[in-house]
Amino acid sequence: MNAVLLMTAAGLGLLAFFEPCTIATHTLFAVRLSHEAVRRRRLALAALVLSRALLLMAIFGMAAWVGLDGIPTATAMTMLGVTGAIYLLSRRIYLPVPHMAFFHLIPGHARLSQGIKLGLTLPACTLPLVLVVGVTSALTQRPDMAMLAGLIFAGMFSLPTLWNSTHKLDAAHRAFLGRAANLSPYITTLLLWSGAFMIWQTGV
Amino acid sequence: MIKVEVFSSPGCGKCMQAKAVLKAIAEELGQDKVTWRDVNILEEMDYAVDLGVMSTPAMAIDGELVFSSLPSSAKLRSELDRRLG
Repeated sequence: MNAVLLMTAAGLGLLAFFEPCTIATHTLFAVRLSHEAVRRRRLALAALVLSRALLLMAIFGMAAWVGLDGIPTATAMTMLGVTGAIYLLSRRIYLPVPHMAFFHLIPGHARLSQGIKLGLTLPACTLPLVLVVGVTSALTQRPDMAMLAGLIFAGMFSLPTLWNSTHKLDAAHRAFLGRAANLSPYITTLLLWSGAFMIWQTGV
Repeated sequence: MIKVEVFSSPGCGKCMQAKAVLKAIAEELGQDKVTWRDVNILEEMDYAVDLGVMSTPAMAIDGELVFSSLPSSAKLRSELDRRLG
């Protein structure tokens, strides 16, 4: 179960960057940083990664601490199936789901840097991915492993931004990002439905 | 004539909503008063960064970033009415 948790966190963390509601914000942030001096760029990236890691470690750690003894197979399949369907639906109609901006809980948040604001925000289209890792964390009932999953999720989510801030985004790279943003909801649906299918087949 | 630019990104649902709202208002006001264009931030990244766009959708009016997120139909209409005098 621990290996499943960590692999899920890595895969879904990377996928989170490519979701349509995330990719633009993070790419703009990376391009803006690429014009900054190296020291300022490193500080901003560190702020992004650390704040995101702390947030996700706290969420997944708490989920594991609260714990779940198990989920009925039908419930797990339904959860994954419905979440996948929502991603497909979002390609056709606008779903007004707000981003979860945790930085609003901090007094004087208007003065926070963009890196911290981004790190402490869970974009709407990444919420189901965080939910899947959160539920898996709860099933492990191991806060230490769940916090490690949070660190991995945050690292993988931020990795493309780190890359984009230090490399020139040429036309081919931009075209790749565009294709990825269009495809990612379908890939997410496929992964979630594959998970539901595996649960159905194995009963685990 | 007012020139509105909608900054969007591929696959962005909120951006589609922003364009639908703007299109309806622009048609209501008339093409002689309001024109608009869609700016894909992945294709015009430097322009978006120069204007201070942080996320999508965002809207610029006459080259000035006015809405940094999806505005309500009423807010957008009110801003355009104000500029049209």
